[in-house]
Formats: sequence, C-alpha cells, structure tokens
Amino acid sequence: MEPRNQNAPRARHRLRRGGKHALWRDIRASIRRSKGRFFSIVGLMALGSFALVGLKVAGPDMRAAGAQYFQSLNAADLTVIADYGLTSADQELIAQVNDLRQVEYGYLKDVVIKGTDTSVRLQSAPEDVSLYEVVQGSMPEVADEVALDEKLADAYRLGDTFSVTEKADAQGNTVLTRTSFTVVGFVRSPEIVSKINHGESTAGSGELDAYGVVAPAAFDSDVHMTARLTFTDTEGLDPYSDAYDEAVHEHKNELEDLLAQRPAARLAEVRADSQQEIDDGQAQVDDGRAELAQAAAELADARTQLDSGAAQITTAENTLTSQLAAAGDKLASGAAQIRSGRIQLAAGEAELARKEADLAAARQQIAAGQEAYDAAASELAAKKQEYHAGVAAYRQVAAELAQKQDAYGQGAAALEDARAELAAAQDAVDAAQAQITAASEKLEQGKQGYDAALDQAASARGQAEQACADATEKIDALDAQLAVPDLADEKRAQLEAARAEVAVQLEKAQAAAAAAADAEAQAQAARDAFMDETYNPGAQELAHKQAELDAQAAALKPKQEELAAKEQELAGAAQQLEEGRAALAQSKQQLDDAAAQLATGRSKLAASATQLAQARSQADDGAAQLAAGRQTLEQGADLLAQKEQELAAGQAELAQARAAGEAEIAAAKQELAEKEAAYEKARAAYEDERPGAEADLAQAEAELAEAREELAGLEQPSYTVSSRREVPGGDGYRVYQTVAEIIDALANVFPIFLYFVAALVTFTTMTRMVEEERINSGTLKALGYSDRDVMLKFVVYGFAASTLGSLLGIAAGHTVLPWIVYAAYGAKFTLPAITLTFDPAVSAVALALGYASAVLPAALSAKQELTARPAELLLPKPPAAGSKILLEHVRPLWRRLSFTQKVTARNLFRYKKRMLMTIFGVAGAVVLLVAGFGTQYSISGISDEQFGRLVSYDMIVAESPTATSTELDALASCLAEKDVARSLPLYYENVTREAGARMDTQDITMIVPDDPAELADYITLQVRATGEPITLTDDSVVLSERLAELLGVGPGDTFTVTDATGTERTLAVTDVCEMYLGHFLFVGKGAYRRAFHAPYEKNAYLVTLANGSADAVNAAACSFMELPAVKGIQQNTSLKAEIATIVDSLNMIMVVLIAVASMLAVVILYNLTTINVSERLRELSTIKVLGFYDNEVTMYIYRETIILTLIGIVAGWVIGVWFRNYIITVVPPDNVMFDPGFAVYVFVIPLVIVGVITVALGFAVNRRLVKVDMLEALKSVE
Amino acid sequence: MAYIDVEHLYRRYHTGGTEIIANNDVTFSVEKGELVIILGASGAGKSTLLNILGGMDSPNEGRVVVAGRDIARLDRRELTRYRRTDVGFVFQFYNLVANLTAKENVELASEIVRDAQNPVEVLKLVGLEGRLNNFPAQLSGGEQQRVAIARAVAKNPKILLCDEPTGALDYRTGKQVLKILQDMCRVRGATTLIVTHNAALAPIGDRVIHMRDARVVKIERSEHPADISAIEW
Repeated sequence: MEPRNQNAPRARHRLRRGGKHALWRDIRASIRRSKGRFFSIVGLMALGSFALVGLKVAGPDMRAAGAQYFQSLNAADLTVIADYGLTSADQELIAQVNDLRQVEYGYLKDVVIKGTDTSVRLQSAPEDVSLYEVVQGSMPEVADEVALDEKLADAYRLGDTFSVTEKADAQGNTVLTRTSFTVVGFVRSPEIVSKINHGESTAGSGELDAYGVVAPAAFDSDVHMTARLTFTDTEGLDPYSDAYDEAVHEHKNELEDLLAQRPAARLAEVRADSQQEIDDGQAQVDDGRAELAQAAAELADARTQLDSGAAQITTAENTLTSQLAAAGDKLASGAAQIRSGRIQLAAGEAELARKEADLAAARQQIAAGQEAYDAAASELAAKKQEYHAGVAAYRQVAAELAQKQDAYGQGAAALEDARAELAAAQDAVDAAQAQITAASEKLEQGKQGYDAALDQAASARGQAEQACADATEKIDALDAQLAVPDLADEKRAQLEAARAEVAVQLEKAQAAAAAAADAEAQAQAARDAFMDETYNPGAQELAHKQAELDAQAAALKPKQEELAAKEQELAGAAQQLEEGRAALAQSKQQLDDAAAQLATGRSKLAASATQLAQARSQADDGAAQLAAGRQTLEQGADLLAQKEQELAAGQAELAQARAAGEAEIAAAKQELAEKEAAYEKARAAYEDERPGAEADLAQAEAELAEAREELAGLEQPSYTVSSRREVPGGDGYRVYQTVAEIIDALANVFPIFLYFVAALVTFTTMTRMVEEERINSGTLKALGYSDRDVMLKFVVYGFAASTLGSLLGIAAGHTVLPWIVYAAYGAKFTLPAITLTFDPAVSAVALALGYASAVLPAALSAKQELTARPAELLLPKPPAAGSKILLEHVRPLWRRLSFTQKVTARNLFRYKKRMLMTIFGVAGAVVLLVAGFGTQYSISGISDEQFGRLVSYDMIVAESPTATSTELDALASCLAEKDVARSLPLYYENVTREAGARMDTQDITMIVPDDPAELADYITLQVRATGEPITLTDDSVVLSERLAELLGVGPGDTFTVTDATGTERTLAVTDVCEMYLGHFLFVGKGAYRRAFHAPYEKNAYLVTLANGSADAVNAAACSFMELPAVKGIQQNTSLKAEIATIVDSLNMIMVVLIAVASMLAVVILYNLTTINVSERLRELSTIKVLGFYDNEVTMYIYRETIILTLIGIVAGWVIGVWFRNYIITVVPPDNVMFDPGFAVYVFVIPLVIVGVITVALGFAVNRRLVKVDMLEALKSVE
Repeated sequence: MAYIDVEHLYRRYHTGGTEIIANNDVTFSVEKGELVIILGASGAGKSTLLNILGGMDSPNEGRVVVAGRDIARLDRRELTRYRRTDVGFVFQFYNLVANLTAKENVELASEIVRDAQNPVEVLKLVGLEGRLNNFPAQLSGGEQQRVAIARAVAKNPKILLCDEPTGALDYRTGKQVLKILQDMCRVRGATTLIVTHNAALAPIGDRVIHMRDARVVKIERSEHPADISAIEW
C-alpha cells in the first residue's frame, strides 16, 4: 500500500462531481503529487536528447560553417604543385581535365622576415580561385603592396613596411622582384585555416609561420608554381559529402594520369638545360686551357726569334765595318788631287776679283749721278703740277664769293618787308584791347550802383528789427514784474501802462521793419535783374572777345622771333663774305711766286743730263775686258767643281751607306730590345696570371663537376595533385574536419548508450507508476470510466514529461553543445563561428524515443493491468511472496551472515526487477563516466606517450639529393657540433597508402636506419600489449600499430605501399610496434633492397639535440635549413599541434558528456531510491515501530542500495572498459591511435561521483524516513 | 504509584484550520501485570491513546508515566529506545515483513534488544513451532497475528499494546489470538492493553476503560475477569 492511495477516495469523490473534467484534474493532481518523479522523467529525457541531439548536430554545424566559408571564398578543389614549376606544356595538359570550371595559376615563395627566422609564404593574389578573406584593409594591387596573415596583425599595422629576405635557389635565382612591401591589409587564407599549424616551409625553421599575399607583379618567374582548379561537378556540393570526395578523387586521378608523363619530360628539359649550361661551361674552361697553352707557346717562339735577331745584327755590323773601310781609302786619294787644283783656281780668281772691284766703283758713280738727275726732274714736274692746281682753286673761290654777295642782297630786302608787316598787326591788337577794357569798366560801375542800394535797404531793415527786439524785451521784463502775485495795484497799474506804451512802440517798429523788408526785397530784385540781364551777358561777351584778342597777340609772337633769327643770320653771312675776299687776295700772291721758281729748275736739269752720258760710255769698255777674263777662269773652276762634286758624292755615298747600315743595325737592335721588353712583359704577365687563371679554371672545373653531380642527382620533379585536405598548409582543413568527424563518431555511440540508459530508467519508472496507481485505476474503472480514459492519465503523464524533457534537450542540444564545441576549437582556426542549424530528423527521433520510453510503457502496462476486473484492481497487488533465495542453500555461507545481512540479501533477491534496474542504471552512468574519463585519458596521454616515451629524436634532417660532397661535408660537421647530442644516418622516404574509411592517402614515414642497433636510441620499438622490445634486423619490416590496424595486417602478412615515384612496393610485416601519432614503417636494409629493388643510400639523419626545448629545436632547425645540403626538416611540432587541437576539442566534449553522465547518475539514483522507499514504506514503518533507530531504518533499506550501487559500479567498470575501447577504435582519425591504456582515476572518479551521489541521497532518504508517519502507513489495509 | 499513570492527557490535531481533539483530559492508571481493555467506538480516541502509550505519538499536555518514567517528555531518540525496549506492539493488520520467515520476523525484534527471548521458544509459545520457516504469505491470518504477537513478546516488553488484534480475524481465530494474549499476561505477567470496539471482550479485562468522544467515561475494575473461552460474541 502506498501513501498516494489514500487519495483514491478523494479522487473518487471529485470524479463523481466533475465528470471527465475531474479526470483531467486527477491527471494534473497526480503530476503535482509526484513532482520528483515527473521531473526525473523530464530530466532523463532532457539529458538523453541533449546528448543525442547536441552531438548529432555539432559535427554538421561545424561542416556547415566550413562549407559556407569555403564556398564564399571559392576555395580550389584541387591544387597542382610541381617541383620545377608549371610550364605551358603542363598548363595545356591541365586544361584538358574534365568538368574544369576555373583554373588559376599562381606564384609562391617561402621567405623569412628580414632579420628573423620567421618564415612567410608569399603567394600571388588570386583573381577567382581561393580568394582571401580580407579582415582589415585591402588586397595588394601593385607590386610593392602586401596583405599579411591575420596573425601578424599584432606585429604590423597598415602602412608599415614589411621586409623579407629571399634565399636564392641552387642556381642563384630569386623570383621576387622586391623584398620590401607596404602592408595594405590583413587576410585569412581559405587554404591555411589553422592558427597553430601552417604546415612545412622551405624557409626559416622548416615550419611555416605565416603567409602573405602580394600582387603577381612582385614575382619574376618563367613558370608558375601552383595551379588551382575548381570543377563544375563539385560546384555547390557540400565539400564534406561523399559525392564531393568522389568527384574530387576522380579529377585527382584524372590529373595524375594526365601529368603522369610530365615528371620524366620535365626532368629531361631541366637536364637538357643544365647539361647545355655545363657543356658551355666546359667549353669555356677548355678554351681557357687552350689559351693558356698557346700563350706559353707564343712566348717560347718569341724567345727563339729574339735570339736569332740578335745574331743577325752582329753579322750585319761586321760586314758594314769592312765595306766602309775600303770606300774610305778611295775617297781619300781623290780628295788630294782636288785640293791642288783648288789652289791654282784660287789665284786666278783673286786677280779677276780686283778688276771687277774697279769696274764696280765706276758704275756706282754713274748710277749716283743718274739718280740725282732723276730726282731733280721729278721734283720739277711735281712743282709744275702744284702750280696749275693752285690756279684752278683760285678761280673757283672767286666765283663762289660773287654768288654769295648776290644772295646776301636778296635776304636783306626780304627782311625789311617782314618787319613792316609785323608792326601793322601789333597796332590792330592794341586798339581792340582798349575797346574791351572800356566796356568792362562800364559794367562794373552799374553793378556797384545796385549793390549800394541793396546795402542801404538791408541796414534800414536791421534798424527796424532791432527796435522790435528792444520793445519785446521791455514787454517781457514788464510781464515778469507783473507776474509777482503780491504786487501793489498801484505799481501794477504803472507797469501795465508802461507795457501798453511799449506795445504801441513795438507795433510801429514792426510796421517799419515790414516796410524795410519790402524795400530790401525790391532792391534785391532790381540787382538780380541787372545781374541776369545786363552784367552777366556783357561780362561773358567781353571775356569772349578778350580771349580772341589774346589768340591774335599770341599768333604775332613767333613771327617776331622768326624775324629776329633772320636778322642774325644775315649779319653772319656779311662777315663770311668779308673773310672770303681777303683769302682770295693771298692765294693770288702765292701763285705768282711759284711760276718764277719753276723756270729756274728747268735750266739746271738740262746741264746734268749731258755729264751723265759721257761717264756711261767709259764704264761699258772696262766691263767688256773683264767678261773675257772671267770666262777663262770659270772653265777651270767648272772642272774642279765637277771633280769635287764627284768626291762629295762619293763621300756622301759612303756616309749614307754608313749611316744607313748603322741606322739599320740600331733599328734592329732597338726592335730587338723592344721585343725583348715586350717578351719580358708578356712573360711576367703570363707568370703573374697563370696561377690565377689556373685556379679559376680549376674552380670552374670543380663547379662543373658539382653541377654534373647535381645533374646526376636531379630527380624527377613530383607533380603533386592535392585536395583541400592535402594541400600544403591544409593541416587545419583536415584537423577541422577530423574534429567534426570525431564528434560524429562520438554521436553514434555515446548518446545512444546514454539514451538507452535514460529510456530504461524512464520505462521502469512509468511501469512503477502504473502499478502504484492501481487502486485509483480500479476506482475509475469501477465508476464506469472506459479503459481508454484510465490509460489516458498515464499516457498524458508520460507524454507531458517526455515532451517537456525532449524539447528542453533538443533546444539545448541545438545551441549549447555546438557552442561548447566551438569554444573548444574556435581559437585554433580562422574559420567563422559555428553555424547553428536545426535538424528536424534528429529532433523527431529524440521526441519519438522520448515517447517510446515514457508513453509506450505507460500505455502497455496500463492496458495489461486493465484486463483485470475492477474488483481485483481495487485490491492491492499481492506483495511478492517471500521465498528462499539461492544463497540460503549455500548453508555454510548463509549461516555466517548476520541477521541484517540475511535480511538485506533476501530483500535484494526479492525485488529482482528493481535490483536489475538499479544495477543497470548505476552501471549505465558509470559506463558513461568511465568511457568519458577513459577517452579523455586516451587522448590526452598520447602526446606524452609518443614524445615522452617512444620518440626521443627532435627532428629528421633530410639531405638534398642534389647536394654536392662539399655541401654534405658541411652538414656532417654541423651534425658533429656539440649542441647535437647524437645523430643517426638513415634512408627516409614518405611512402603512401590509401586506407581508412575515407580511403584517404595515408602518409607513412619509412625509415631504413644505417645501423639498426642504434635506432633504439631514437625510437623505442616495442609491442604495446606486452611491452616487449622489437629488435630491428636486416630483414625487419616493422609497421606502426594504427596503420596495421587500418590495413588489417599483422606479423607474417604482406602489404603494399606506394613510393615517391608512384611505384607500388610489397613488404612482409615482421612486427607491429606501438605508435600513436602518424604512421611509421621501419625497414631493415636487406628488406628494403629486396622490396624496393634499389641499393641502400642514406638521405637523412635522425637528430637528437642536447637541449630538446622547443626554442632550441627551432633554432637548430633554422641553422640546418640554411645549409644547402638540407632539403627539409621534419619536426614533430606539427603533429603535436594537430593532436593538441583534437585533444582540446575532444576534452571539452568529454567534459560535457561527463557532466551529462553525472547528472544522469543523480537522476537515476534519485529515482530508484525514491521508488524503493515508496514501495517499502509500510515495511519501514513497521521496523520503525519496532524501535529501530532512524539510521537503522535508513540503513535497513539503503544497505541494499549501496550493495546494488557497488555491483552497478563494478558492472559499469567492466562495460565502461569495453565501451571506451570501442570508442577509441571508432573515433580517432586515421593517423592517430588513442592510448588504449587506463589510469586508476578513470575508475576512481566515477566511483567517487556515484559514491557522493549515493551518500547524499542516503541523507535525503534518512530525512524523509524520519518524517514518515509510521501510523498512517500501518493503519491502512493490506 | 501505579505501573502506568496517565494524567490529564490531551492530544489535539490540527487539520486545515479545524482542531480535532483526540484525547481530552484522559486520566487513568494501570497496575503491573493487568490486562486492560480499552473500549470505545470508532473515533473515540482509543488508538491515539494507544499510540501515545506506545511511544509513537506524543501528547500536547499531561503526563504519561510508564514504569516510573514520563514518556510524554521524551525526545525522538528516547522514544525510539522506549519503543525498542519497553513496548511490544500488535496491529490489526499484523504488519509482518513479507520477505522474512516467521522466525525471521520475530528475530527482527529480538535482534535489537539485549535480553530478548529465543525467537523459536516464543513461536513455540504461540503454537507455531511447525511454521518457523514459513513466509507470511504462507500463513493464515491467525497464524500471522500469532507471529506478530510472538514478535511483540520476544523483546520482553514492559507493556504489550494491541490495536484491534482480532479486527481482521474470524471469530475462532480471534478467540485463539485473544487466548494467547491473555496467557501472555497471566502466565508471563506482561502488562497488556488491548484496544477494541467489541464490548463483548470487556469481561476478560482486569480493568476496562470506556472511552467516548475523546474522553474516558468509565473505568471498571474486575477482580475476577472471565477466561476468554468463557465468553462469546
């Protein structure tokens, strides 16, 4: 019997009055009466649907946010990246791919920020594909602008200068046209969405730190580095859908097929180019060598020539000397003969010379005489001519003078006429002036008369007015006196009389003033009339005439002046005339003197001419004699001269011959000396330059050798076709998707179990309720209510509770959980906030499940109950009969139990249904808690497990295949430095294999160590389950555990991987090793050779640093990256960052799930305890009456709860372990293995949580039992 | 000084603004070893009186001295101890624990007191030696009530309180039960109070307290009470 049943009579009463209305009231009352149960169901349904709906929508919400973002930026579906760039041939092939919507080619280059190790990938700004989200500012438009990664917004502001350092490639080429840019914006890339991990870089430490966008003009490259493609058949597809994956996968295969031949072709091109360069270089070196040899040969030739030249010169000198001696003798005898002849000739010459001298003296005298005669004659002639000229001049002057005399007479007459005329004009002007003056005077007199009359009138008026003013003044004075009030009448009469008198005077004066004013007016009028009519016109006319007269007088003035000037001129002319007459008389005198002198000169000249003729004939006779003697002498002299000439010629010839010979020899010697000098210079130069040239040549040859080595090392470029998940820097895209998928995976296991538990408890609770309300139902039925009406109560109750609970859960699941998830991952991605979507399907499922667990059991058990007759229903259900329990048959054990233990044991087994429900409920909560904490442990531990226990190397340093031996030596010495603790050479290759649910390409790090024994210092290889170490041998193939699991292989199985060249290689697994992050393949040298058909050759080092801190590793990575021999660095950072993101997100979700599981535990335990107490209230009252203390009463019933709870916890541990293990196989991403281990806390915390809840509920039960009215319970019928 | 002294006992209940007086100035006394019949119609206040004497309820006023101790002044825990050691209770509806055998039901009581009787002995006393390991559901009503009496007596209580012990039993069985109760009193000297509305039982009491409308209206003392077998109803 239950306490509620006592309400039955009340309900019956109500029903009688209210009909069906009362039924509804009864339903409402039953909800009110059992708030605890009602809200338990609400809570169970809310928790169940919250976890179910929340986890189901969170993943899709994340993907919705991502899909919208990538679509809005038109992110590329596929990206093609080629090691040696994309040529036009590549572009033609790419254009052939099916369904191509857009393709855009771009440039990129990894650089470091100037002065730092911070690596930055500069990409050319796209036009259509993979657009950037501009967070601030704008995209770059010209070559000197850059838009930076949003994460650099702390370090730079808009307008700042962003400087980078670009490392030249092996050929010394750079592709950026500039290294300094102005920051114009901050952007987010749709390809690099992680804020933590940007992927690998060829600059800095090998990890990409940031990115930037520049205009394509900032690049100078023949080839593009990337091609970004979008497709028509992926447009509008959800990028997370299978359809999208399939389409992209298909296009990827297609592209790979199209480009399959390109690596070889491109290598050939690059090889050919490089070979050409090498050949050119070699030719140059060869030329250089040849030139050097030729120079040596030429020097030797020159030496020989110089030596023979010196010998020739010596011979020539000797010959010349002997020849010259012979010629000298001959010439000497000739010279003697000539000398005697010369003496005879000199004597004759002397005689002739004396005679000639005499003749010359005579001739000289004649010449002097002639000269004197000629001078006199010419003087005479000149004087005669002079005389004639003087006569002519005299005559001309006389004529001129006469002419001037005439002109003077005419001028004087004209002057006299002009003078008379001027005097007449002056007289006329004077007369006119006299007339005008008289008229003016007359006018002035008239005016003066009028003015006098006016003045007279004005003074008369002034007098009259003065008289008026005087009279008025007097009157005023009298008035003032009269105004005094107490004036004596007498005086007043006097005053008035005086005033009258003065008034009469005033009147007269006023009349006189008026008359005077009239007279003044008339005089004024008369004057005005005169002035207007006579004076003013007259004066005007006079002024006019005066003006005319002034003009006439002015006109006379120049004529007077002209007259004065002419008089002066005439006076001058008269004086000139006088002077001319005097000069003429003097000239006549001089002419007469000259005529007399001419006559005497003529007679003297005739006498001199006769004397001269006599002297001349004498001289001519002496000259004839002299000429005969000279002719004889000249003949002898001519002969001698001829001989002398001959001698001179001989001598000259000899001298010439000597000079020529000597000059020739000197020239030869000079030439030889010059040549010697030139030779010496050339030799010195040669000697000087030879070592340098040889060194240059040697270096050039060394370089060529290196280039050849590099050429030999050139590998086929890889053409990488990447989806969004695979593109460099796409780690963020992948991790984001992984997080969403992990939530999906969780959603498929966790909430389903949780819901199952909640539903089961709800189911039981509703069943119990129907049973409790048995008598009430019987009463209703007895009153004639139909079965449907009775059922309605339970259906409504369940419906209301589950609808309310489910709606709460659906609402919170659609909002709270996605936001918690977003809070967990949001800070790690540049993606926009999670998009809240409504999922009608999962909401409907949650509601349906709610009805299935709350309404359905109510209806079913009610229906079952109602098949009984009402009479039976009215009786309480017979209590379950006591019976022996199994344990009692184990006599020894049973006997040892205390009484209370026996009671508890029997009670436990008596209420089997409740026992199972309690165990199941508690176990369910514990399962969820263990799974939650266990999963948390599994994910949070892997980073430590992997990098603390298994992997102790800090980085993999990959050698460049084209590195030359010197570069490799530099790397080796760098590895030998003390900050490197140890290093292990090995062969390292990233091989791939498609595996996993998505058939993603799995990257596998294959390591073939140089010395297998040493690998253990870097990587601990062991079997996880047993901890047994794995020894790597020559034939070993050790696979990491997660990959083995994905491939489903174990020791002894074979599997294939795809190597870097795309060839499939088959290997046989010998061991599977423990590894949590990434896939690894450790292969012995022998096994490698057999599988890859290639000789072993090291290409990388595992490096452990002395200081393994992140900063130290980064610094070391940077210094390694600067070595030309280093192709790249693989740090563990990216894996760590990736796992940290996943771990954080999962952790947050786990916290939520743990909270949900804890609340579920509370509700379940509360519910079960409540049921337990309610069902057994009568029994409890009995023992209370019997004198059990309160805590004994509580423990009487709670002991069972504790035992059941403990059993539930243990069961929960067992199932929880299984469930956790299931989760960690289903949930983790392909390249991650969750740590399958367990920590003690995973079990302890659920125990504590359930324990605390149990104890707390124990106190609540205790309080309730204390309040129980034992009498009420005992009174009722059973 | 009597064994039980009830003086000016008042017990009032408040339900929804109205005051119900269940015991109004009840005064009586009982000597040790007496068999007392408290007689009255339904609602006369006799069950309330019995509950107060049994330590399950406390009066508003007055003294209830049992074996020299005023139980009206005891706190919850002392009352529980009083119930545990001094009182045996027999109910109309037996109130056996269904999940325990006859013997275990007796043990339930005997386990919690120091000088309890052997449960098996007590059950023999009530004639159930053959039903020791039977569960209540396997027993008849009379047998169940006898188990209940055995449970009450096993503790060696100072007073044995019976609330309509035959109310749910037929005539014959009721008589048997009353016989046992009378024997318990006579033979074992347990002070026994039986509440009933059946006036036919009055002759068997050493003392009969008549109650009506919450008051004691009459107390009869009988020097020679009738044996239960001698009376009929």
